[in-house]
Amino acid sequence: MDRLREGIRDALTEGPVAGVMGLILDGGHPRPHLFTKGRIEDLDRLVVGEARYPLAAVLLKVLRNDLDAHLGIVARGCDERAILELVRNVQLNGERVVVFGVACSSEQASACQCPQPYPSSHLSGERVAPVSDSEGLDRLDRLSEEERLQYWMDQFGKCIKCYGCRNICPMCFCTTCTLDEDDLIQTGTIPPEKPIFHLIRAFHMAERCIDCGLCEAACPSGIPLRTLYKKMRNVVTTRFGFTPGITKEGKGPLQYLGDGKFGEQEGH
Amino acid sequence: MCSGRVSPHFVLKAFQKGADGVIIAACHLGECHYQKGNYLTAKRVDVLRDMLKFVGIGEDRLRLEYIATSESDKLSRSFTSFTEQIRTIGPSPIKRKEFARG
Repeated sequence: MDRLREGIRDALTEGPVAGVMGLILDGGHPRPHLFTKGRIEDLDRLVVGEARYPLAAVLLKVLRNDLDAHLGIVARGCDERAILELVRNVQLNGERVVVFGVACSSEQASACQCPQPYPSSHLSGERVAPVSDSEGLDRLDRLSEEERLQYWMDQFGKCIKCYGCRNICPMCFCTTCTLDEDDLIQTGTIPPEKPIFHLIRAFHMAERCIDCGLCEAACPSGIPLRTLYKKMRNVVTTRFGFTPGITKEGKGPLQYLGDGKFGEQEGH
Repeated sequence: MCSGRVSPHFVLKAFQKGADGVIIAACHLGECHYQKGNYLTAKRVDVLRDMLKFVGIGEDRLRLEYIATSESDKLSRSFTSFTEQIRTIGPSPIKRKEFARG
């Protein structure tokens, strides 16, 4: 933690970084905060821990107002995956975002069922093993098609259309959203049309989802959204050898022709 | 309309509206006037079919066929065989009363 604070302090006072997005303890509660040189004493209240926010999405909001700003972010494994994916999708300038890594504890990793509970380098914490959580997905894959249909229609039927899954998602960076499109989905009415509301979002997650699980944590109805999106993520990995959140370069397979899937014919 | 314009949204909307099956007729691979429209469609259809299977609607309700404008007999054969296939599978489960809104 001291190394993390020192790293951020150095970057703010001596480096080119104008601000660092992290969590600050405010009235006993952690919340996102932009630490700046002008208020360096705020760093005493910097926290990392149980609280989870889509920090990359908050950083993106700040950067949308000032595209050239040089900012940093206190990032867990999931936050770093989000940053990489946002850079790959040309939403953030990778050269202007500095990552101050935090490795999660084994308790956090198992609470989040995290596939990679650490960023590429870290100033705080120790690397612990990823937690495999394919159980829910395996169970569903073993069911019959009819059973899966019943299961998902029941789950989608719980939706109160709060848009929480979209609003918390660090990958939902679009400024206009399909789910607000009246020609596609009735807006202003509840419950949402099922299954289209959830399937559209699921399709969009296919080459974007970084498996952070914030959607499922935010859902007030307890819909197993992460399982659905994880499936879509797996589909894209299996079919195209692409997994979101690993690289900051290249186009996703669904936006791009030349991934070799069609062999010789490709590139015509 | 170029098959590359067939957004997954259109396919999902068709199912939501009660379609029992959706067939997309695309140009042959390598013959896209816009170079890659049908390749992109092919990939999207693969992903969509996997999704339809996973949520229990059934992957066989969505088919992609490559049919050139000159291949009227193939068009007719494809549509006939798809119609027969859908008849065998039966009506879309989404339309069932138990899944009605509210």
